[in-house]
Amino acid sequence: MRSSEAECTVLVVDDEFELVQTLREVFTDEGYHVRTVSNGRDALRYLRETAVKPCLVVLDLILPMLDGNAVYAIMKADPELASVPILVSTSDPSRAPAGAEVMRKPIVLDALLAHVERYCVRRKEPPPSGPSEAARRP
Amino acid sequence: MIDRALAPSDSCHMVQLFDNDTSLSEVVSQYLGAGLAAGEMVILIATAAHRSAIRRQLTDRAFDLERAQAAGLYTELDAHDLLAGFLVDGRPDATKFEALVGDRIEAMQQTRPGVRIRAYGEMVDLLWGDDNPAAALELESLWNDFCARQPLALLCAYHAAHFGGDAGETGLEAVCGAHDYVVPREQAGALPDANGRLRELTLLQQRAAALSLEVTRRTALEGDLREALSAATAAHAVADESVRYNELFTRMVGHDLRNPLNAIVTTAHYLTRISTEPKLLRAAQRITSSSMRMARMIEQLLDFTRIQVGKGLHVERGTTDLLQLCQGLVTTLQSTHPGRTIVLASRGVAVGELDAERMTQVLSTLLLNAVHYGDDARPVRLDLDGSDPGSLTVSVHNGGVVSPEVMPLFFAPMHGGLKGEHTQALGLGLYLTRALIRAHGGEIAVHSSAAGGTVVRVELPRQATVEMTA
Repeated sequence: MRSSEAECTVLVVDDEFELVQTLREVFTDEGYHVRTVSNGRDALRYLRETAVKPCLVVLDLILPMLDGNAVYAIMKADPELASVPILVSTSDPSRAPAGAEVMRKPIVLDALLAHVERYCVRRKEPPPSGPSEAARRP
Repeated sequence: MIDRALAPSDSCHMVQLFDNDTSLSEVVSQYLGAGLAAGEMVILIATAAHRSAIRRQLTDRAFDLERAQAAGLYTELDAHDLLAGFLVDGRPDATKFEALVGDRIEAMQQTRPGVRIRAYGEMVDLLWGDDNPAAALELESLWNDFCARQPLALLCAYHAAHFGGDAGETGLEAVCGAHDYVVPREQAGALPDANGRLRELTLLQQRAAALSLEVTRRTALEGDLREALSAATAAHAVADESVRYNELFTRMVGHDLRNPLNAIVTTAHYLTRISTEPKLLRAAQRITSSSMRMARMIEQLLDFTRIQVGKGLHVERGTTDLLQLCQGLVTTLQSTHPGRTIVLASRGVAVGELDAERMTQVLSTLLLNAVHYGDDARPVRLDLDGSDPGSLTVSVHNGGVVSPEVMPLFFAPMHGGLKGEHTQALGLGLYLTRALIRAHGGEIAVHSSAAGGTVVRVELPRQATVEMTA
């Protein structure tokens, strides 16, 4: 992966397929690259195998194989991954790891995109009015 | 007493039960003292402590033990040492017993022919106390064999505590069977005549009968208790199972239902971002609005279940400005209910260590209830009082009246007492509001009258005092 791609790649870790598909389209419309995985084990595998890390990990907590709390703890303990920003997205913020940035589900897209913008660079400028024309067409 | 059992020339094997060392040393010193007084030869086979106590009692009764010992009339032997001399693998060896004990007593008899020997021994008690009753009974048997050959008055003693419980009763029967006389603890033998002993025996029989009845009653009671315990255990198992299903339900609602709902809400948001078509936007907004209401209901159900299974509600405290929070809520509510007047009044500093998200839930519920169920013609008033350094007070006032029959159920879950509540919600809002206030260590109350309208008053400590659960 090229460095410029890494700067604008958001990793979404969630097992709710429809939500992941929506987030993929939202991020793509907004000019970001998106990688998605549906469990904690695949998330760690991707993060360890990719040479250049994503600009942000949007991490669900209740996941198959390895839950989000475990992924969070492993990433923070790994010098290679500790600096990768994580946004925990959960319906129950009380279960989030201490000190984590948390976004309550259902996700409010404006708030999510504002958060992504803090950490990531768009690969291309979105249209001035928001989503691309392509995205506007059904 | 014991002496009455002794004929002048007969052998006699007696047993005394004792409760404590004091009573034992008294009985044994009387028994041995009577022998010394009668010019008999006396042998004391006991532990060092018992020998010392018995010796002291004999001396107190003016017996010159040194002189008696020098004359061969008084002999002391250590019970532990003597026992060790004839025990083989924990059992008394008949040959060694004969050599160590029998031969010694016979030699004493030869020094004074015709003079009876009177002995006290507690080696059997030591064996029984070492949890070796079989060896004790074998030793009793050896003594009986000896008594059959030679005239000897022998008193044994056992601590009564050896014979507690059912097994003890069997043991006591065996011990009694090994002796010619049994001396009870109550010293019944001390009674002066046969008539007195009969009276005592009658009393004892009566006590035994009463005790037997009591045992029967207690056995029946124990049976009842066992049945009750069994029923309670079964009920507890059912309750545990119920809690388990509740937790399963909580997990299911918490994850399996919320996940697709989250996808619906987020996707509806996405539709509003990518479309400019008014009809589609309105439809997407309706999906969002309904989904958000459903999400709130799920949250309420989860909170309700947590309370029902005893887990309580968790509050995440942080510095919270209630005024700022109220201003935001009033602005939002005013925009969604433009026909209503909502007045916010505040005094003092309304900052405390509170869970901002949960307090938003509380105030939102109270304000929405005031708007929905209050008098449309009168304003809703939200008064915030931060003038007390230790607490914060919030009052939500509306012009409506809560009927007297609904008042006791005002905070009850799912009572449906408030007009139309169950058509838009689950009827858990006020119940959870009270639970959340209590989780903050506060209290909530409602007052309603035709003249003054309805006021819900919340009082909260600014700081957490102890960790509370709803």
